[in-house]
Amino acid sequence: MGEASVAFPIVGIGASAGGVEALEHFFKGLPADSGCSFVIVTHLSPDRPSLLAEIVSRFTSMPVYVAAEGTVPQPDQVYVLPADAILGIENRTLSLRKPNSAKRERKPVDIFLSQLARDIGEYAVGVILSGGDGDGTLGIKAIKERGGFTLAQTWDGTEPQYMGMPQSAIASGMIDVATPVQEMGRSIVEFARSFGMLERLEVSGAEDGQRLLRAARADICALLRNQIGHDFSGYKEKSFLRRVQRRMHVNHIDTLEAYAEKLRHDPKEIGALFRDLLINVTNFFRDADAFEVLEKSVIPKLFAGRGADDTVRVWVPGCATGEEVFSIAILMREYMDTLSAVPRVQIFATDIDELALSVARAARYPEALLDSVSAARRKRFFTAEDGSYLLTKDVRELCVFSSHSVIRDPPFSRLDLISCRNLLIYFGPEVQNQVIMTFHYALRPGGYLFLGTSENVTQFSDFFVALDKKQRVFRRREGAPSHARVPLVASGLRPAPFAMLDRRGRGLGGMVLRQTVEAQVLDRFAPAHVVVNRDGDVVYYSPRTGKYLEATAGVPTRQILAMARKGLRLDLRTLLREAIETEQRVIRQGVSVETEEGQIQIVNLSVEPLAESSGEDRLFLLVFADVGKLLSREEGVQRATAPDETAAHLERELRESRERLQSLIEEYETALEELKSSNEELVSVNEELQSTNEELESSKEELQSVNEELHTVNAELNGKVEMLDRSNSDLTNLFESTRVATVFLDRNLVIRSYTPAVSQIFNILPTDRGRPLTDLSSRFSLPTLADDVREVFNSGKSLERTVVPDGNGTYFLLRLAPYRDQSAGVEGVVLTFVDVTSLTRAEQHQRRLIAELNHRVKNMLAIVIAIAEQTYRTAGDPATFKVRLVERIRGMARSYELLSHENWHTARVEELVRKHLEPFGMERVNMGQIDIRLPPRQALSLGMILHELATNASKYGALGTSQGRIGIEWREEHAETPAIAFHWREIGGPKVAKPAREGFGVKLIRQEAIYALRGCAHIEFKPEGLDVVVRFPREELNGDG
Amino acid sequence: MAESRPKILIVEDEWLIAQFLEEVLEGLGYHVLGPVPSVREALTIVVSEMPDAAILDISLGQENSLAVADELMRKKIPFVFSSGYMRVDLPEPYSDCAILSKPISESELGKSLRSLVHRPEPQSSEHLG
Repeated sequence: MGEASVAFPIVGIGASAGGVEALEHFFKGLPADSGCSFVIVTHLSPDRPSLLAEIVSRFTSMPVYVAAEGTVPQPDQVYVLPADAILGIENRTLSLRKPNSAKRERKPVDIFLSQLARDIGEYAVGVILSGGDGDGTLGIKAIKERGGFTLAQTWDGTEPQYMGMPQSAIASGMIDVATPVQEMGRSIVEFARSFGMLERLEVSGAEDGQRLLRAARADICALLRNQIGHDFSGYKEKSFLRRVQRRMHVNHIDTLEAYAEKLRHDPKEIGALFRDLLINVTNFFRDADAFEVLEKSVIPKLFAGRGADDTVRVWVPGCATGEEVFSIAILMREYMDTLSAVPRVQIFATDIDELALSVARAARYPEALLDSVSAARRKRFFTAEDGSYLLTKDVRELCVFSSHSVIRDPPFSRLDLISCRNLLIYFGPEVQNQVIMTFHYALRPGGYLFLGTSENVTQFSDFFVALDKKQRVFRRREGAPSHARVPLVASGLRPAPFAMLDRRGRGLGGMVLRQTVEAQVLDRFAPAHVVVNRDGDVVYYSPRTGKYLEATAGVPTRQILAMARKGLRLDLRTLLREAIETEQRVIRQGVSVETEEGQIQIVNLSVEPLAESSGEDRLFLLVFADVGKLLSREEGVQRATAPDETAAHLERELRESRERLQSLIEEYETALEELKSSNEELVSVNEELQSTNEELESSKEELQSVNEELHTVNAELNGKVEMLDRSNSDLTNLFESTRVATVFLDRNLVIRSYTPAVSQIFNILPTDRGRPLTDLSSRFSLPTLADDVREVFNSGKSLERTVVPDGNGTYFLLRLAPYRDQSAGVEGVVLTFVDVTSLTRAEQHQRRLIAELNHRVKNMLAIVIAIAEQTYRTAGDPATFKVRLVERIRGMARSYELLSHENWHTARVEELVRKHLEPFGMERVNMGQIDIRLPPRQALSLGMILHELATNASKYGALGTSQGRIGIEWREEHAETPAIAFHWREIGGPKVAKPAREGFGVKLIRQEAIYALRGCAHIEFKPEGLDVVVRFPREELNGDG
Repeated sequence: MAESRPKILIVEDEWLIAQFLEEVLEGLGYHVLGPVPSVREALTIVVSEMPDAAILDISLGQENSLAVADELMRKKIPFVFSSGYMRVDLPEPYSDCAILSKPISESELGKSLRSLVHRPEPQSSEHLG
């Protein structure tokens, strides 16, 4: 699958407590175009919705979705596990399953990652981030096993985080890259890119690329063969290269040549590659053939001849997460089911990694890891629980997990089977030897040793015999020496063949030893002597020791006590022990030794510690000094049994001693019995403790997962609080900056909060929060406030009131709006005081303008009526009336036009004159140039005057004749009050005489000057023409008509 | 003119309208004081002539006649506003005062004045040219 162009890596991310922060840094260190798809699986509480998607989307520009059933992950997108679901994946399609609500899902990360591994193999990437338990470790194993890429978080900061999950994953040895979380993005991007590289080499390079690849592969295989002795040339090419490539990636090396070069110079890297290639993740019944051998050939023998009182003891060192242990336990249990008398079975599973042990103790495995377990076994030995499988109790109770180092700690003993698969490959040759010797010691004669397919004990053929060479099953040799039945000391290394001692530099070198011994012996005597170690093994013989020692029947041995001739053995043992205990020279005289020929030799024995040796490696010099000549048997016996008083006395004493010995033996046996029963009690107590321990373990797990959930929730809440803080600060800033006075009241008119602007209205202090608003004095009375608030509560609708404050001319609009809580019930009232002074002013102004307009229009109508009246009175006939009336109204209209052109601000005198005189021709008019502006009222008035003058001039004056001229001047005069003088002078018209009766026109001019202009008109009927001067005070031009 | 006729003060800053009012009042048999276009002149007449009633144009160019109205109220001399403004535009203390909306018809004016002062002796209603 996934070979098509659609293939891209899917990154499964497992996180729990402390994971939100880790995710933040993870995504911040990750470019948005990595080409990978990301699926986040966390420990979530089933009871509440998760905000994770929302939170994660703050850290990345990639789109973040909550995973749904049937979602097909796309590159550069992020998917988050929803609450209350278990995520799986098949055919690159996510699936969701509802967990069993009664039980907490304990290993969602394991479940997803293992399915991911099964689904996309090499394209799977597993990332383990902060978290409190061991979830994810099994998932990582599955990914690694199928050639995927694995990362785990390490911490570079100092803050306490939850390292359980990543530590457990790292300890499993299955993590490719352990790095701080910020660095992961880079690794993943490189990993994703590396797919392209291999494919390019394979595809595009065609012949050339293929050849290159093959050459590089052969090169690397040769290196491995030379250094490790394992031939990988039979490996599948693609998976071989994939693993090589992953090592390259881990080492940041780009080309195969460069990597081969590194292998040549870095033995560590060879080891790493070797292990990577061998990754044969311990799984249930991994290497089915090997387990079959175990089942068929070994297990029945373990039980053969054992009754219900016997115990079968098995040791699985380096058990890691327990699959191997449980596989063996299952086989044992299956065999036990067939027996009538079932012996006790104890499987000791040890590892130095406590975290792995806790995974093993939990005995819970995701389904994907159970591929190699047959359906029948699954049914018989597992309980399915939400996608993970729990071993049944009858299997679990066979196994005892404990923390133990196969190198450092004292070994187990009297074992029937040791299964140690794929552990030795991690050790150097020295440690390997030591461990194998330990195994040899720990097994009972005939016990079995079960190793991984790439491990061997062939160099120890003295100790082990191969039962099945291919499947690496060995049997401890029956007769193999096992003198050191109990290590004399519990700490330190097991006593090993003494050749090893030299290498450690703790003993004496060969030559030096020899010289030392010879020098010392020569110094004292030169009799026959041997040097033994604390265990009585001979490490050095002098010549001529045959008289005292002889080879025993059976396997060759160096044990002095076994070799000592008749008569010597007892005394030797005593002497040796004494010497070891006291570290002093010990002598026994007159010991008789029987030679092969039956003669007796009396010897003096002396044992003394050898100088220059000490402690565990202390050696002892044993010297045989002959006394007298060889005696015949008779002589010897005679000598030994010489009737003698002393002899009789001694014999009596001997008898008494024997009796005492007998009673001592009886006492000893009783004590032994008691010890046995105590032991049994202890065993049962131990069992109880074990089951209690299991219960505690599961409670602990429950608590841990609750804790995890709480941490996740807490982190989410922290995120939420942060957001709230931000919103709150926004609100505070809004409150501070807004000029709108707002008060939040509850149902009882008690102040909840307010904006600072409120202090303009109420005498309010921060301490007034919680006091009723009505307690405060305000700058204006709000008598209806309580009623209004009640109405808002009842109706749930907003109210508005205009408030006119006392004095200072500020107007407020008081808006009472219901304060709704989340359930939309009215919880209080929000009072908002909006300063509407300018609005109110504008309204007032507008009203004034309208009134003014009314006034003007009506006034004008009144004036028009008055003009019509007057015109009618002076016109005589209707035709003249019509002409004059229309002229006058037009004249007014001209002034209005001019003013409206100027927006009723001002009108220039010049314009006014021009407007009114243009209909009569401007060529006979001489106008002044001074720029004077008049307010509308004066302009209208002067306009009327001008109209009358011009009409009059055209009828009777200067405009009536072709010679007539009109001079029009105006100027400002600065007397007490500023004034304007307007001068109209006609010349060249018909002769003018003062009329007998003042006509309407003249009257109008005169009265307008008085009424409207507040000035006066001086009218003179000069013979050469009319001369009119209008003087009126200059009004302020305020633009407001 | 006989002093028995009621004296009506006309305060109006538009000469044409003042002229019109004067003619109408004279026609109705009242004795017209003024017309005057300013507060100052109006107050002078109020003090010196003690009118029986008054017709006040509210807006007098840049000033208004409310000061005159105050003085009249103080002296308990009845008056009527004549204005282009509406009643609602009047400031508070004057909102009860009578108001004649421009343009004023003769009959309205007569009716209004009759309610202010007792009806004068009927005069010749001859129109003066």
